[in-house]
Amino acid sequence: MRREHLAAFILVIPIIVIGAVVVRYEPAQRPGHVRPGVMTFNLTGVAADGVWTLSDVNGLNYWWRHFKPATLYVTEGDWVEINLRSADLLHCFYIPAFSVGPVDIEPGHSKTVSFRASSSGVFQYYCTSMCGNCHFYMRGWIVVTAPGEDPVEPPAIACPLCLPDFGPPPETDRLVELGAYLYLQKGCVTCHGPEGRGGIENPNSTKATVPDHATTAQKFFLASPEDAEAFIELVQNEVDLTALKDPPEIERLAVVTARFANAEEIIRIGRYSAKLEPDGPVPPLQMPAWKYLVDERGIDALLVYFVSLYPWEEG
Amino acid sequence: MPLGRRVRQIADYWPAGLVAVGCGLAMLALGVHDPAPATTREVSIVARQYGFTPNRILVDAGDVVELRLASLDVVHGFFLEGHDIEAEIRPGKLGFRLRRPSTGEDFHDVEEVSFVARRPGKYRYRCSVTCGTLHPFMQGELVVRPNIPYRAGVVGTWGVALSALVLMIVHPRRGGGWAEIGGGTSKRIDLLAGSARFQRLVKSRWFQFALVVPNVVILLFFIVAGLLGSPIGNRNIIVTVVWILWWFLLITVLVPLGGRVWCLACPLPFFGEWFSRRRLVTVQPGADRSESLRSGSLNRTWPRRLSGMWVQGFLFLLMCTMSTILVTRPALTAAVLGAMLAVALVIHAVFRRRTFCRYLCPLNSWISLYSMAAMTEIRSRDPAVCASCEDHSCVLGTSAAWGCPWLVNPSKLSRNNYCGLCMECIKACPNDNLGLRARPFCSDTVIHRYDEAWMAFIMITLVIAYSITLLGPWATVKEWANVTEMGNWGGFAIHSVAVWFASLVAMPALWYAAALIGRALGGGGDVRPKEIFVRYSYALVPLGLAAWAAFSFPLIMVNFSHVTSSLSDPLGWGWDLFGTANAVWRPLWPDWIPYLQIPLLLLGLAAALSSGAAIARSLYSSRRAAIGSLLPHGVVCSAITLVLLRLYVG
Repeated sequence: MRREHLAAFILVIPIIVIGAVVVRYEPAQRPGHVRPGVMTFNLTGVAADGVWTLSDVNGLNYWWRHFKPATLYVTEGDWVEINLRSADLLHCFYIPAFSVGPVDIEPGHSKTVSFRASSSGVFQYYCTSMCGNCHFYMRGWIVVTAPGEDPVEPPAIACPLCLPDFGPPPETDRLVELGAYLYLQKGCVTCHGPEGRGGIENPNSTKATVPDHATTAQKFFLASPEDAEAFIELVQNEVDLTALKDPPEIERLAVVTARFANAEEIIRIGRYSAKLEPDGPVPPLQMPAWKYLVDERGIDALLVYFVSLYPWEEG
Repeated sequence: MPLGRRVRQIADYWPAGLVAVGCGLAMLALGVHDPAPATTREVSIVARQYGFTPNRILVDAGDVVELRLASLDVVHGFFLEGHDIEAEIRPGKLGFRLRRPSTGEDFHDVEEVSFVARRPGKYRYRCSVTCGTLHPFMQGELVVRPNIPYRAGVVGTWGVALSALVLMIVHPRRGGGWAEIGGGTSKRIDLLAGSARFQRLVKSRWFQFALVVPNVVILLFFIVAGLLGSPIGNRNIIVTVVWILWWFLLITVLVPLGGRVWCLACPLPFFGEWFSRRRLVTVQPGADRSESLRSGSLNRTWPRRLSGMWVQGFLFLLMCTMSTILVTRPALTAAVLGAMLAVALVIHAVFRRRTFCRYLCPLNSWISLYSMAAMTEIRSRDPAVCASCEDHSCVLGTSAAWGCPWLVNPSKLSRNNYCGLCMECIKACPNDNLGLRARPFCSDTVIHRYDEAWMAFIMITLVIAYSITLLGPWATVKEWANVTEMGNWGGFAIHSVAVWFASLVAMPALWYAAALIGRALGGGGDVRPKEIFVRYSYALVPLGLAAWAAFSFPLIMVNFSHVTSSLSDPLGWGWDLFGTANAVWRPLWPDWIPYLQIPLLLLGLAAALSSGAAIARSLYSSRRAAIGSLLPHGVVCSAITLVLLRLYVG
């Protein structure tokens, strides 16, 4: 029996030792987690849900759980440390307000960023590397509260694309409807706002906010609702605008056409948002090049959708 | 053997030499070609999860290729073998980021990259940025014509097949066969007789325990890693070590050299065996005769109807149908291994000895089949001693050793198939009459049951299927196989039905047609088609093993840095135990993969035809009948070799 006991001992000891090591270095218990004066967060990027989450993402929950974007609450003056990981693919983490990043986060390579929460307010962090359908929703809030004050509750960020009821493309050949669908499906809405109303803040960009699309008709120099209608119809029927011999009754059609071609090109090749302060952070929201992601018809669909958004009755 | 006789013996093989010279000339002729005038080709490659479009690019040697890259969904990489090009492609960008791996430089932004396709052959381009579950299998292929390695492989296949034919004509009694039917005892080396120390080691009660315990601890740790670690396969040790390293070692080292030696060290039945024996190292003979859960197991006998290879064969097929998901999802791998531990425990509690391993372990079907070719065996040293032995200690056990856990009679072993190399019989035999011996490759050549023949069909079909799904450039097939992420259940159904149909029906039907034709060519006679069909199926064993090896080399060589980085960071939590966790992914000598695969496949074919010749001689006495009956099977084997060559290097 002595040999049996020895054998059992030999079996159990390494299991206990390895178990202890795993528990000891389990990420939530990593050293430094509760260092005084330091707020530590573990964020994991999950592409399927388009979030940076505080939850521990592992083999057990990744396949079925929907993760929520993390809101980080800190007090003004705190030293904030964020351990970043990726559950699936390459993400890029960026907090322009505190000049943190952009830093690439690959699966299995954790990185730590830190900053002093020097001013109070509500700030946004982003993923700035396209990581799938839900990429454009992949952001969250950092709420910095002055000592003694109650933290404010920032608005929720939900990704409609990740919801199961985001349906298939509309069965229509109307470009405006297709454009409205693409506007949501491709994620344009996240930066350019619902119904193209814009107003989404783009820190340190010369324009301060992302351009809206509700005024596209005006930018195209379309003078009246009738002209806009007629123009939409031209694009709908795939008329070659530059080869029109007998221009229809649209005022300054040449200007409109040139403006339209210019807008097409911006969607195709993207646009760099210039810095307001040259020494400041790169503006987090950059217009991607959609050349390979949306076909030519889709680009036209988006543009006529923008034209259709103009609030004519308000003058 | 005097040198002169040896030289004469080798000289007897002149026909093979003739064929070899002919093939050499053919290869030389292939090398001579009119080089097409070099042109400049503009190629745009679009990456998406998990493939490139176009997935195959044909250029002529000397062409200048101007490459543009774009991504449709997430950040992908682009690593072109043999051309020192690595790129990172971000969606929403017009250009991409490039670096030359050999210089160790950083990425820089470019619009396009151009290179000269100098060396002929097939080069894969692979994703080099972890982009999701199937990232390690995302690839496309650049073929620089004339594809000389591929043509050489094709000529080599013809050469091997013709040599075998010529040798059978010239040397009807000998001719290339290094195997002897019925397990002869010549050309055997008794491994235990040589070293007293090794013999003491093998006979020690601690021997198997010492081999299994590390694996048990590792397995338990892997299961924890699979469940709690990174959900991405190439960042989790359970996937990298089990499906890349272990699988590779099993295919290329353990089985060809040691046969079922893995079964000696396998951790899966450990807890079940412990439960039923009530002992870890010592022996309590009552336990394997008890019929009570208090003192051992219920020791029931497994139903006869289920005792063939069919159940395991189906389980293995089932596992392989899911394998694209299995090998990329750590949690699923952990669940499957955990379930096997649990099922083994239950089976051990109810049924006799290693019933689980013999009749239920899915991997047994693979290992059992290919262990026939292995270079190790346990056999009776002197059958006469066993014949006069009356106490049958090897079957029943003694106070120093358990009776054969594998439910075979070690004294009568003539094949490796069901012997788990646990060494109990060597410890038990009072006459010291059981030997552990080294032997030539492909020594067991007798398949005599339908179920065993079907395992040969299943395994050879699966290696072709894997070469298509995992190593192929077809994103659609990967999408079908990767159903839980992509949700294309229709595609998954096509994929599954195709795999099951091909391995259970199409391949056997092809083989049966060959058997019928072979019987007619052999002049009918009294050899039944079933016998031809089943006996020749052994030819698929060496061929299949070589094919699996050729399949596993790119897996390990391409993914080796995933293994080293996950050894350093087993759970993908950001540890760095050995300083290799953050090493950049680099395939290991990828240019050499085809030059390993082609000889392996040709050797496999040679072994298949040589075994086939030995079987033909044992079936037929006339030379004409032997050659005629083998001919169609030889053609099928050569065709399988050509298909694999096309997939790997064509």
